[in-house]
Amino acid sequence: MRSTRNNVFGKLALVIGIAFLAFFLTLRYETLFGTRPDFLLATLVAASFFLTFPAFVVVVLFEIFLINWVPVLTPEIIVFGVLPPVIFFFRKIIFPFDGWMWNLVATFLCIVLFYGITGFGIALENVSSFFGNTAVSLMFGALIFRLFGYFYEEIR
Amino acid sequence: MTRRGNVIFIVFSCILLFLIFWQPKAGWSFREFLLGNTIQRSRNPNGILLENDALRAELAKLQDIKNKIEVWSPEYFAVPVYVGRYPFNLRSELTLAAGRNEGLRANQPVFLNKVFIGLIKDVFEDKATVKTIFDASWKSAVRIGASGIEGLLVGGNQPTVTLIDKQADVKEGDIVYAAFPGTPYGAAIGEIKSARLSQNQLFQEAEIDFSYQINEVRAVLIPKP
Repeated sequence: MRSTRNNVFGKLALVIGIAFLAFFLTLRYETLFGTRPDFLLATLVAASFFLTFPAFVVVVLFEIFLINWVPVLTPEIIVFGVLPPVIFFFRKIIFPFDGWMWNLVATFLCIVLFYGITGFGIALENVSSFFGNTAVSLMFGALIFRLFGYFYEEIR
Repeated sequence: MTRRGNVIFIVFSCILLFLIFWQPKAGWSFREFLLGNTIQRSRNPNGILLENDALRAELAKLQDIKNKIEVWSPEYFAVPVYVGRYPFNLRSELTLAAGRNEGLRANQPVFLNKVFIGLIKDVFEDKATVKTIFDASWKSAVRIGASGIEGLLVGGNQPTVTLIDKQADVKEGDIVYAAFPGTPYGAAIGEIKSARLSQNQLFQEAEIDFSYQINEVRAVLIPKP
């Protein structure tokens, strides 16, 4: 059922809807299990395979709006906003990887880099939670990638 | 990608940037809506104070304290708390949605239902940060139970009372209360969960049981000056 038209707004609407769902699931997961998975990062990485840069920026800003809960931009939010575009441009310019396997690798790298930059010590203190959250986030990212791939073609 | 498409994305981006920098509370309200909470409920001081009755009954057991000191019963005002920073729900710091404009000052004590949870650290015009007892660098004098056993509260993920006299009779359920300057004497902190000898065998140490989850705090009480 892949759309052969370059329906950018349709893609954006789908991604925004998935980002909203990812945010909701993140909150519910935290309520149930006490830890916070990275569904939002996983959504951004998967979206980078299917969106053009202007649309991708809108999704990144939308997710920052959802998670920016204090009245100043924290270092974590800044890293969250920078990492996915770095993945986006790395894929465009340096190494044009594609496919669901590379989506998993990119998601994993994004999560590791995010915690490595913002809270390496905290991640080390809670290794089992970190790996548990990462595994769940990778599964979510794989599902989202398949969903996007069902409707649209990857942009290379 | 057409020019029209690019313009529309730029407009969306500008709207989102405006919301992020000038209306971050909108994201917070949205989150509270999804979780089924409302800011209005957390701002209701009467609702918060009513929950305190059970703890006051517990504190009434400390007859030694009530007989010896004047009962401290100031007026409070309720201040909403911003949800913790993404992605870490750090317990060591809270950000309050009030600051100098509302009369807050550094080192003011902060309470949750009259249970002491920390001191205001930094104050800005319309926000302030609180250093909680879950901060690893937290150290303050406390007393335990009706007999007022002295100890040192050491902060961290699991705050502990240390330097307790080896011979002191510390029991599970004994109330731990504040006994240091800058905080109302006798302000409840928690209950003793378990006590054991310290590693050097010279003192006792005790873990504290808290009747709240610091991650779920949505509003605090600050005593009016």
